[in-house]
Amino acid sequence: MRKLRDFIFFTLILAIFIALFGVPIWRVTQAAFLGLPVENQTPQFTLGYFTAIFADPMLRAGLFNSVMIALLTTVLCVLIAMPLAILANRYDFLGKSLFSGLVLVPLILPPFVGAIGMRQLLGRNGAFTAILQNVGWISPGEPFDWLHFRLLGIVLVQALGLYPILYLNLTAALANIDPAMQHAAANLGASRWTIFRRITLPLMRPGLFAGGTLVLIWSFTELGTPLMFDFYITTPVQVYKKLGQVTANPIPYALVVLMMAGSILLYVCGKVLLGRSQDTAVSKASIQSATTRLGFIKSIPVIVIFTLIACLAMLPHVSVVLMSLCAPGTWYESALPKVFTRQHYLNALTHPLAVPSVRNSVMFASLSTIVDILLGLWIAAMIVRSKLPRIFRAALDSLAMLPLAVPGTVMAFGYLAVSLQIKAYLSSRNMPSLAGLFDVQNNPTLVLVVAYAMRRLPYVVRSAVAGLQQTPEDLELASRNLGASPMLTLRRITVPLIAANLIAGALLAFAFAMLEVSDSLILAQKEQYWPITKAIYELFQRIGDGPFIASALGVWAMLILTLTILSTNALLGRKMGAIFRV
Amino acid sequence: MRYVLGVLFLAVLLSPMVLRWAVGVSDQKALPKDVLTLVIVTPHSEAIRREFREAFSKYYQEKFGKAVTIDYRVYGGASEIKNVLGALRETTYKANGTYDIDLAWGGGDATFDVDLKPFLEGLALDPEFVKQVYPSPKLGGLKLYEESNPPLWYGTELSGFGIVFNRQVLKYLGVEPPARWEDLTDPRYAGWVVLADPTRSSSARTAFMGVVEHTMAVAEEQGRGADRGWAEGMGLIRQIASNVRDFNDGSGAIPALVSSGDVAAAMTIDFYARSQIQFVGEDRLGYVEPANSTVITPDPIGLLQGAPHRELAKQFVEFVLSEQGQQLWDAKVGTKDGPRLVSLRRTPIRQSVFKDMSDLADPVDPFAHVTSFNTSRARTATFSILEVMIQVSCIDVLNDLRATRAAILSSTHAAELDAKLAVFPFDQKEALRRLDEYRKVSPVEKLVLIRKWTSEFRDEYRALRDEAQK
Repeated sequence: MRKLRDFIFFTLILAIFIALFGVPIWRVTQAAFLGLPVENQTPQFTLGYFTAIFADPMLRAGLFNSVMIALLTTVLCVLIAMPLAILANRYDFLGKSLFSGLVLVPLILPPFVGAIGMRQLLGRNGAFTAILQNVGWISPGEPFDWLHFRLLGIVLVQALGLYPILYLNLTAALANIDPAMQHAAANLGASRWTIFRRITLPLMRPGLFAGGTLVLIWSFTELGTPLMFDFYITTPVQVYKKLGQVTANPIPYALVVLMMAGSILLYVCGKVLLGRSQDTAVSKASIQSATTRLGFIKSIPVIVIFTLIACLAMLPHVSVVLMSLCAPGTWYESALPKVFTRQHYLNALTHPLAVPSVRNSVMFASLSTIVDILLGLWIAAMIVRSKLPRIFRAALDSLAMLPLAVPGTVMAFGYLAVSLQIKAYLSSRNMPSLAGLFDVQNNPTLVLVVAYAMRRLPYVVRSAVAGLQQTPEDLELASRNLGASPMLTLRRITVPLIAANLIAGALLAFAFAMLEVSDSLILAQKEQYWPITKAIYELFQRIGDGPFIASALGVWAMLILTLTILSTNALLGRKMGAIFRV
Repeated sequence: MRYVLGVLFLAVLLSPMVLRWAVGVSDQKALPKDVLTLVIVTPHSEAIRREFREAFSKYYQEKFGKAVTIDYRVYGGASEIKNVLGALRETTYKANGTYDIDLAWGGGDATFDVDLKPFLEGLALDPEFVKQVYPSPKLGGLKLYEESNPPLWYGTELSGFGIVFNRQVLKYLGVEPPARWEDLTDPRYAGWVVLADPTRSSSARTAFMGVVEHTMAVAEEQGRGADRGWAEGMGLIRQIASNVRDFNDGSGAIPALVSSGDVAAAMTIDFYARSQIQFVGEDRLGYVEPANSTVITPDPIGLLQGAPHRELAKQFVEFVLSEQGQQLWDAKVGTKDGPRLVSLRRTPIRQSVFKDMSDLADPVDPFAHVTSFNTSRARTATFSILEVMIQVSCIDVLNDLRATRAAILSSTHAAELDAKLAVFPFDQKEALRRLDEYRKVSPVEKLVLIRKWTSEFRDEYRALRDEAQK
């Protein structure tokens, strides 16, 4: 009976997934294998576009570089996030809630202006060069090209931007570990290192896998950072550069399919390395792991580590704030701007786009996060709890990761085309009000919410899967045995037990939806529906003072996002540093 | 804590309203229900869109007594517009015979002639009016409006191309401010020039075509023939490319890169440079249009097929081309018919505007001070393949190109080898043959062709390096 129900649910999820994600992606896959439709010509299956890609040294090099960037970024993220998560889990130190919040700052960095901020620091005559000149390490007036170290720079900047994904997942995973296990090992004489290696690390593997694969796939498909470093031989940049040809050339579609395949491959590799024997935990932590309270002196090394990472992570933010206050042209050959002004804030905040755009962003991001939580939890439950054959669950697991692998612009065009087709179909059937829902040109709310939700679904799925894997099913079964309905069990048992993971996933989904670019640029066509990222992009385009005004609007967006996250946490009754403790 | 956060949240959220009130910016009035709405797809900046919307609404209210507004559709650059219109063609247009958009505006004449042409339909304006706007249909051989009857597009303003440079970086490099395209081949610029990627930027394509056209015109004049001039122009481009730090993704960011001192000089559109100089000052940034060796191009507006508000669209085009509308492009803020908030610093296309230039922010009459030369269709025949040629000879082999130039310059017979690099290995005739070949083949075969051509250039550069070491 349960198997039948699981099959029905599986089919239903598949249908939803196909409707919301599969259809736009089908267009991409179709073009990659059948070419673009030509009137009066039957399309024929071909692998020619793929062989052409592999025969081309530039495109081959692009794939190689993308994989290398993804692997190195993920390793660096683990090296940054793991110590932070362990320290936060184990110790209570001075200013812990502040530092735990500060290390999450990369989540609130708006696009475009973040890149401009980094360029201002790393430019030949930028702030870092000026600092080196000031301390006498290089001669005055001698420029230094930081952006010359491209691969290293891309990996570093990406890792500093993405480690919070891993940090959130690791913190949630650590919070779910039953400290009794570690105590037992310690009682048996195991050293700290042995306990970490043999107990903690294996038990936190679901979180490591969840965060690691997200970072791996994100950095594999990342476009903005390589562009900032003018490093064009990566697959996402090559796809981006061929976007202008999408109406005539199937090669960009084949490249996207390769990116999707590459992402699945990386995901499977991650699973083999980290996700083996991810059987559900047999016991749930009955007590919180006890944290050691550190005195002032002992807090210092921990604070130093957190401060170092927070400072590095906040560099672009600081730069954006300084840009927003700097008179154009006056931050030149100097560590700090020479002339400050508040004019950019006046220009940005009195601009007619400011208020409506933030209202739209909050609305689109909130709605899409709700969709993500509902759909993500459902998918996660199917992956972990259902009695479906393993292959079905594995397929669903991989499918749920796919939205990360498709470039935003390609997805956006897919959604645009599909919504236009639906609108035309419904109009022809004389259903104008229903057609209006899909009319991107007039009101893109529905399509934007779906697009935002699908692209951020993997964050919630991964977090929820990790949570469910660390939670024994026995507790839910006990609830059912006592007569509770599935819904009541979900509401009263499952959701509270994995709340930390859900909050972590939802937080990522909300933050990234607020800062979404590609869908917004293509799908939000009328000014009245523009989200904040499109408003920033518009102001950013102004020659001369554009980057400065955009920075001011970016700072405002950062504040709104920070306060939204903090207020949500406050409403949930938990402090920032403690939300991931169950 | 919750209350503090709540108050803070409200304070930040409401700050724009408070600021608007404090500085006296009035909120936009609600539009009446019967407002007419014109729909325009455009890559133009927010400042241009806002100034023209406000001015047109005011003009329309005064002239026709009706409220009108403009609903701009902004998708990004020209390639995004083409893609979105392509998607609309398969759906909305097929079903209802309209794109639900009236006009396309901006993106350069090349974009309108190639990418947007399938979506446009002719728009007839009163011939007398057209004559007033364009006393001559061409400027330096370049058409100011499309030649079909009725025209598919009308030029609304002019863009020129030149070199923007950072005086302080030039001082550091020890070079004089550039005056000609050739100056950018100076090896002291190595790693200090930035160019826009012509495969991504239509304005960069136009600028490069201008460079090639110039060398073709000179070669023709000096008796070497235009075909040979083409090879010299492409050679000049690859010599400049050997000095580039990068081929930048778009042309818009380039003046900022020069201004920040990341590079010393760049090829750019005139108004980008002027706008940047306005903020940074002339003591740091300079701009020059190489005399008699650049092109000036019109930025068009055109009616989309099945436009739902044809009459209103026509009235907007007439307004943009009117004396009043043309003033908006370059008049100072606050002058009669000038912009309200920002000077747009673009060159009007209507010659009569330059009779009295007292209100203009950049009082340069392009019709009197023609820095450009007569363009010709024969010389722009390779326009469609220029980006591919630059890709295979410069962008995809940039490291080879840089290494080759460096090897050449350090060799004992540098002048002779540099002269070889300064001429493309084939001329325009061969380029046209390649264009024909490239056009006919499938996307996969195009990739093979590009690979083949790239390896030809790689071989040429290797041979030059070998020669340099002898």
